[in-house]
Amino acid sequence: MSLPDKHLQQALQHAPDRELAPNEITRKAVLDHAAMALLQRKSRWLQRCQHILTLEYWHIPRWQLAGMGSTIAILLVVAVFWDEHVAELRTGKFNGEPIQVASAPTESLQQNADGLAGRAKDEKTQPVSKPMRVENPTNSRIIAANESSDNSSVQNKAALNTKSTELGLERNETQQTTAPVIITADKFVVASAPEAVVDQNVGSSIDASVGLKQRLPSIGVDALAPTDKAVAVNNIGERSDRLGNAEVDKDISAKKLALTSENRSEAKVKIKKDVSSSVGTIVNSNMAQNNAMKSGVALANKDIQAGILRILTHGKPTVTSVPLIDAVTGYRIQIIEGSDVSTLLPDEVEAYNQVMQDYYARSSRLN
Amino acid sequence: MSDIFFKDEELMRKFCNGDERAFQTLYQRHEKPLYRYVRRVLGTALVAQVDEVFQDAWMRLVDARGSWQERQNASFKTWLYTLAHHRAVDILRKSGREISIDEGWKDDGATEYTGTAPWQLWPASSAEQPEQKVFWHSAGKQLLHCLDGLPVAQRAAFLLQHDDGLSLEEIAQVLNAEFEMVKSRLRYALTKLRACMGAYLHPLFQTE
Repeated sequence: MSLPDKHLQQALQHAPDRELAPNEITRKAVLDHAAMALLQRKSRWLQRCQHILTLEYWHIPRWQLAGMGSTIAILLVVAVFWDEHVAELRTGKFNGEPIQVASAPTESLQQNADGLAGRAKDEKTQPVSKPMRVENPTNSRIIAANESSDNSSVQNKAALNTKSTELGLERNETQQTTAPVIITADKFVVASAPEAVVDQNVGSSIDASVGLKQRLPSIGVDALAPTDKAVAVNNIGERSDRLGNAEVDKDISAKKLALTSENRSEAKVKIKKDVSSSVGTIVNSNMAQNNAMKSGVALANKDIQAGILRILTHGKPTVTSVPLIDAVTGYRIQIIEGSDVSTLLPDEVEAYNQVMQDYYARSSRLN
Repeated sequence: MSDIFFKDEELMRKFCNGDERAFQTLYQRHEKPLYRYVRRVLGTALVAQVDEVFQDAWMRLVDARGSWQERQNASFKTWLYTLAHHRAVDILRKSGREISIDEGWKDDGATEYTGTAPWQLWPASSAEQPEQKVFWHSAGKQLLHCLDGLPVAQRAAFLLQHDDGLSLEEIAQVLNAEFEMVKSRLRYALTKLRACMGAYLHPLFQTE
């Protein structure tokens, strides 16, 4: 009974529905469904690959991703600007152009001393609003090194020692203090002689106590006239009180005892010599200042033509996640130097920024 | 090498690996037999549902190809007909024509022919004469009519054996029934069909 019946099988083969087939729509639907299933299979693989590439696959929370992204962005910004900063210091160039510095003085220190003594006398009572200018860039670097309390500047220290020897300055290492004292737009007496009063603006970031201490032995209070000596000692004493330097007070007391036995004529000679050697490092040169300002103006005009609008500044590098913006102009603030800058750089930056601000004012009026 | 030389199982495996042409070959190979089976199981009363059942069977096969890969030694044809049969039974249930699972098992009073049966006088199936062709065409038509009178389980067992060439084991898998039950269904189906066919064709030979 399990074998097929040949007659019935034959009858089935001759049945009228033998050649029936599904309609074309049904056939197309089935084949399309199969094709679509294969496409979805491929797309599932693609989706899985995409899912792996996305960070969701690794189960990292979004807040951690945001933190990681912010950290990377900050590091990137710091690295970029830090590289620029270091490169400028190393090459001595600012935006591709060499930083212009004044040439070395050609006149003798004696002539400078005489001229400055006269100027100092004239400007004695006038308030000082500009930073101290030094004609010789090498000297300026020495002063900066002397007056800076930054012990990390080994290079400046080496230059300081070398140049101090050349200029006859006796640099007493034991008198250095680690307590920085910032003196801004202030005056202090270099020597007690009337012609030796020099206005000095030490600047916003100079440790004046070190410079003061270094000058005390070399200026030669001992060589002053008794009356002048008394004035000088009093002035220096007041200064040292303000600075809070015990060692200076001690030194001043010793000098007071020696005043009575000094010769006036010898004092005058020493005054000229000491003052000339001292003021040689703090000469204010209008020529160098003008050159720096011209350089700043030229650079600003060049940047404006190139479409680079920015405000320059110098100081301690600031690490922020957002760029610094100038409140007046809205331009980006770029830090081009650190705190230890050339004395010509502020003039150049000031001139540069003035041109930018003028340009902003003109643009605002046009708009 | 063309896909027509591959077995069903190899083609199905290729389709599971993303070969669309393998599926097209499979479809062309089983399109008409499966359509006939669905049509005959559903009967003349549910002809309108044939395309739906046929299409659903193939789509289920496509969607369930993942489970096919897990069945290492399964026969593709058995699987395909199982899907189609289950879908057809669903339609029959919905239409109120559902028949209990034991329907084809119990003796419904059909008696086997004894002596000289009418079909023993039927012409040979290889006859080429026009009269003989007409006879077999009429026989086929009568057989379809007789099939409509059979219970679904017996009808399906008969069709799977006589038209689609499945073995008894394969039929048992498709119908989800035991082997002996399948044999019994076949026996009753053949008895009824022979009686039906003899009653119709016998007068034809009596006239000769």
